[in-house]
Amino acid sequence: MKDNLTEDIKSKIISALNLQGVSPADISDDTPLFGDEGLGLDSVDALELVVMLEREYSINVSEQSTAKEIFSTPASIAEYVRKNAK
Amino acid sequence: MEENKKWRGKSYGGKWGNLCFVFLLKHFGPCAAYVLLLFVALYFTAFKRTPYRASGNYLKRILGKGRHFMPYHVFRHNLALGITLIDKGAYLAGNKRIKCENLCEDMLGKSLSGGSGAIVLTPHVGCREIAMESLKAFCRKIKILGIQTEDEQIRRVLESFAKQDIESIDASSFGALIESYKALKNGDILAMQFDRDIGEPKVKTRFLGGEVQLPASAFKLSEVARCDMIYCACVREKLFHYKIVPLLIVKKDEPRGENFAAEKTAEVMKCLEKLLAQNKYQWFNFYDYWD
Repeated sequence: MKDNLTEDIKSKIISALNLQGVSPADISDDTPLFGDEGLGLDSVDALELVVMLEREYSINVSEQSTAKEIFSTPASIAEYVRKNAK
Repeated sequence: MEENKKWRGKSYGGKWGNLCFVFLLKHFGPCAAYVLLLFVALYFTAFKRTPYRASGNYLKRILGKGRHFMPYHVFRHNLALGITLIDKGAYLAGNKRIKCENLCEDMLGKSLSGGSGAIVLTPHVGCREIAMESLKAFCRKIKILGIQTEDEQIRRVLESFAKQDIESIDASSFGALIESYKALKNGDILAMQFDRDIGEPKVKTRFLGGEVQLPASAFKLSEVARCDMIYCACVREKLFHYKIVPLLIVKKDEPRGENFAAEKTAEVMKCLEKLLAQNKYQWFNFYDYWD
């Protein structure tokens, strides 16, 4: 069964980063967002994701040291949102 | 980019060479260090081929037809770099003879009003460290986004004499832009250099007759953190006297089209060319990034 929050996050990633020709169905829950595999996002995209979490979920990513872990996959972002949503 | 075109920091002089300058600065002041510098600059001009080539490559572009007897110009370039490094050490150690006038004060004050942060972007011209000390007058936290490339031993020698008390953000880390964004949201001043080919995204522009690639992440930071970008340079005007001159300001509320970063970068590089035309020997970016 699809997790609604993870699906929602995939849509918001696509929208925030303006990923042309990519749909939520193209991204699995465990697709790596950064690095050579998966979506291959960079640090500017990570900044966009931080802003997206602030705007859409009112969540501040205050621990920059853990940012890489938080933004590793759509599932890890969903997990972080669940833990920190106000 | 080809591996051999990647920018690398390079410290010259070694531990003992730098210790000699520190000794002179501590006990006799900057003028004594300038005297030693004359010989060091001559030695570097005559025997150090890599920095000679790097310096010559830039000087050919800035001097154009007036580039006769290149060793003389390279010597003056080496001398200007050495004077700036000596002044930096003396200034950070509290030497009161070295003064810095900030012509960007009003501009930066307005950008910081209402608790906003601001991005201050400088080129490798003159002395950035002296400029950073002047920014302390605004009573805001200052953070430098950059990469530490100084040789470890030389860094220890220099810091034993004078250490700049400013927090830095490692530009090579994954969270560098996120940390920079948080700093700007807290109303801090974020300082960075805009004329070095590091990080993504990049924009291409013309500079001194060739094509260069320059970083554009500051535009994204400015957009998401809603803060102004102030391009400026801290040049040596005369003996013991520096001034921070404005090059360009990018306001947070300027409409931003698709080519905004490229257009503004082209504009600021033209301003930099004008500044360098008046301060030919104060360009200290010894990296061949043209074409």
